[in-house]
Amino acid sequence: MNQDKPARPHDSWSDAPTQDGSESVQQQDSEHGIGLSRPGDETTWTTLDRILTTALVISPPAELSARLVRIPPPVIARHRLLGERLLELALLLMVVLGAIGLSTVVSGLAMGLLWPGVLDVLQAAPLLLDSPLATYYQSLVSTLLEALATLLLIGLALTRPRRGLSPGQPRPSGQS
Amino acid sequence: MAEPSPELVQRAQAGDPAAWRQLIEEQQNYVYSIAVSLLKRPEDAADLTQEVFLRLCQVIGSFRGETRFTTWLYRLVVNLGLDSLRRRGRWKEAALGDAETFDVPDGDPLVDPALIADRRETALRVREVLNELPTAYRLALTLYYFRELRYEEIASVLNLPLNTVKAHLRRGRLALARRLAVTQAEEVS
Repeated sequence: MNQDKPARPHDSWSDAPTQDGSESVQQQDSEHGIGLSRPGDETTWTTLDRILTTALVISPPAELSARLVRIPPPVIARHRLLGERLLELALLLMVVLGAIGLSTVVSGLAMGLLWPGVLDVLQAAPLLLDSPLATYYQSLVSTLLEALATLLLIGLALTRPRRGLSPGQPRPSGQS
Repeated sequence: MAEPSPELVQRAQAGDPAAWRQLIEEQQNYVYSIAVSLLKRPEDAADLTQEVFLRLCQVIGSFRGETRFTTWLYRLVVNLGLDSLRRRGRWKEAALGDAETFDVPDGDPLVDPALIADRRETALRVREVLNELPTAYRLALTLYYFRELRYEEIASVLNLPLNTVKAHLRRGRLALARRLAVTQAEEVS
């Protein structure tokens, strides 16, 4: 609550010309001889400012306050948070799968190119690397990655914040 | 100033009941004051206040912190209030940019309002006189005084040009002073 705040300096009340006819206000002020910056009027306007500051803040009735605090916290926001966490998990899973798939290929290349001697010794290794199982695993990983990427795109499209009017903002003219 | 901290707003957005309650408690006076300023009748203002917080519950997730939270909230109050006025057929009051035809009574506006009565009674009288002003003046004065919003923020809340807001404030204050003077003169005679 800021009821005790000092009144504002009111020299700003007449600080700018206006486009909408307020020049006539200045003129009107002069006609009545009550220019706001006239010396000696300062106290009066300051008092008015103070009274206005006090008068304009109105406490709601107790019954209304009780009704307001019973309004439940936003649930939509909680759902939104859950959706964002699920998306994060999906991203993480995608990265892990990608890393596994990549490491399989890299380790295969490394073993095939850098350590041929070792492969000669471990005769079973080439059989494993060239086996239909490894190919199947690689294709499975790439399929999963594609599926997750698709789901991720759909998720992003659904949870992307709407751009445009603010809540409650009146629509452009011609629409109700 | 009762500008809520970003942390409080974020917690409320996440559905934290304590933060949500604190936000309501901190803002209800201001929301209700704007509602009264718009609709005049306390019952209508109470309905609007409740509608605002119910709506806030639905849309708070879309607040991105691009403006001050209070500016964003007061814009919501004003827009819902104007919708309410239009639904009730009070189109003239809902036209915030069109208040130039308001008749300001003659009288010495420089009477010292402190002489009218004691503080509390004066506040009540000021509210009565405020209710006679056009909605645009009343609303601009309310936003200016009780939250110390900047001109630009008031213009943003009311969706009006900056110069129109300045004119509304100047004229509203002048009209208020004159009406208070007239009221006092009537009492004396």
